Amino acid sequence: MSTSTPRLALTRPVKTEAMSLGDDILSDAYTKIDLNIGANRTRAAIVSPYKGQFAWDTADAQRPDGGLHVNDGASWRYIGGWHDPRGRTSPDSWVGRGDQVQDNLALKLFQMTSVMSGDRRYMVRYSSTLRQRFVGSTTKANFIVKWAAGTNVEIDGNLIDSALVPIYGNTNGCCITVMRAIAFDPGDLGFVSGDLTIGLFTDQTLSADFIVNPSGGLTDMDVQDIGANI
Amino acid sequence: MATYTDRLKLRRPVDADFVNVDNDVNLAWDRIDDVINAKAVASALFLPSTPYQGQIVYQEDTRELKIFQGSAWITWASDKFPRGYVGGSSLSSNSANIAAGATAGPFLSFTFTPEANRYYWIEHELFLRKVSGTNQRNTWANVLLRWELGAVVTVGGTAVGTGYNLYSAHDETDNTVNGTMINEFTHAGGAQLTVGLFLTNGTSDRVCQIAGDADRVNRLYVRDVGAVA
Repeated sequence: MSTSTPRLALTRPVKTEAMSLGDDILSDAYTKIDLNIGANRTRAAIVSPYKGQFAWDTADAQRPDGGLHVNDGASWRYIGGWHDPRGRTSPDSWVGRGDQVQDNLALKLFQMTSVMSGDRRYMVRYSSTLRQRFVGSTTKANFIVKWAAGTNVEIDGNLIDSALVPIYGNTNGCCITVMRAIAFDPGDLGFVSGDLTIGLFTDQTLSADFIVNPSGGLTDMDVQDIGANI
Repeated sequence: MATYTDRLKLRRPVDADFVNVDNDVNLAWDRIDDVINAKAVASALFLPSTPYQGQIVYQEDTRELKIFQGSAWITWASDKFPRGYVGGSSLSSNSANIAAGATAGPFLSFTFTPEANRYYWIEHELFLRKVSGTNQRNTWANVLLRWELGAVVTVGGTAVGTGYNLYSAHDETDNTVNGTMINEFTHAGGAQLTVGLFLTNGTSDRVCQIAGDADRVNRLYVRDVGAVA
C-alpha cells in the first residue's frame, strides 16, 4: 500500500499497486510542490502548517509583524522582514571636534554623509561637552540637528531636533556633557534615496559665552537605520 | 487534458495522458531544482524576469535574501544587518581614587570574541567625581577605551578611537558629571579579546574617582551594528 511523505504528503506508490503515474502521482505532487515552493502564502491562508514551513505576511499598520515567518510545529515564529533595523549607516566621517562659540553665531560642529533612503527611518545620536567661559552667569546653548540631500548641510537645512541645554554655575569652568538620540524620517519631506548629510549646529541664546569641546572634549555623532517607514 | 501549476508551470498529466519523461519528469525536476530554497543571482540585473509570488533569491553582490511579494522584490535579511547586544558590564560603587596625573583602570571591561568584518559599538556612560583638591577649580579626566587580546586588558592595550576629556561639574568636591560616548571597533575576528575603560586624571593637584551607587550606575556595553562592507 502506498505511503505519503510527512510534510507535503506526496504519494509514494509501491510496486504492486496499480496507480496512474501521471494523474495520481505526478499531478498531485506537482500541485503540492508548486504551492509550497518559497514563501507563497500568508499565515492565515495555511490551515495545517508543517514544521519548517514558510509564510510571508505583508507589513502594514494592522500587521506590524509583516515579513517572513517559519512554523516550529506549534506556532509561527517571525524570522525577519523588510522593516527590520539595518543598523549602522556608512558615514564618511565619524567624530568631529568643535570650536569656541561666539555670540549669536550658528556654528556647524559636525556633519556626516550617508547613503539613505526615504522609505527608511533613522536615529541620530550625538554627544558633546559644553563649558562655561565666564564667572557669574548661567549659559544656555542650543544644539540643533539638521539634514539636507547631498554632501553638505547648512543651518537652513531641514530640522531634526533642537535642544536648549543650560549650564548652571557661577565660576569659569563649569561643564556638562549632553547626549541626545532623535529618530527622523527623511521620506516625510520627500527625500527618495541617495546621499544625505546630517549636521550638528549650535548657537548661544544668553549673554555669557560657552565653549564646545573644551580642550580635549569631543563631539561624537552616529546614525542608525532603525527600520522601514511603514 | 494536462494542466500546469500556477507558479513553476509544472505539467500535470491526467488519466488519459501518457507520461512524457522529458516534459513531465525531467523538465519538472529542472524547474524545481533551479528554485529550491533560494536561487542565487549575481546582482539585481539577474533577478528572475518572471518571478512567482513568494519566490526567494539570494543576491550575491549585496548579500541579501529577497522575496518576491507579488509586485516587487523585498529585502528580507542580510549578514550586513545588525546583530545587536553582545554584552557588557556595570559599576554601581565608587572606584578607587585616581591621583593627580595618574592613569588607572580598567574600571569597566568586557571580554568577547568578535567576528571579522563587523562593526561593534562600545558605548559607555560614567560619572566622574572630584574627591579632593584645590577649591574653585574643577577636575577633569581623559576617558579612553583600550583593547587587548585575551581575558584581560591593561593600560598598555591598544586605544579604541579617540579619548575625550570629562570635566567635573563644579569647583567643589563631591560633584559629579555624566559622560557618555560611543567608540567604533573592528577586528580581524576569531580571537578572544577584552575592551576596557581607563581614566587619566588630567589635573596636577586634584583627586577624582568614578562615582557609583544605585542612582549612578556606570555602564559599558558592546553592540554589533552591522557588517563593515
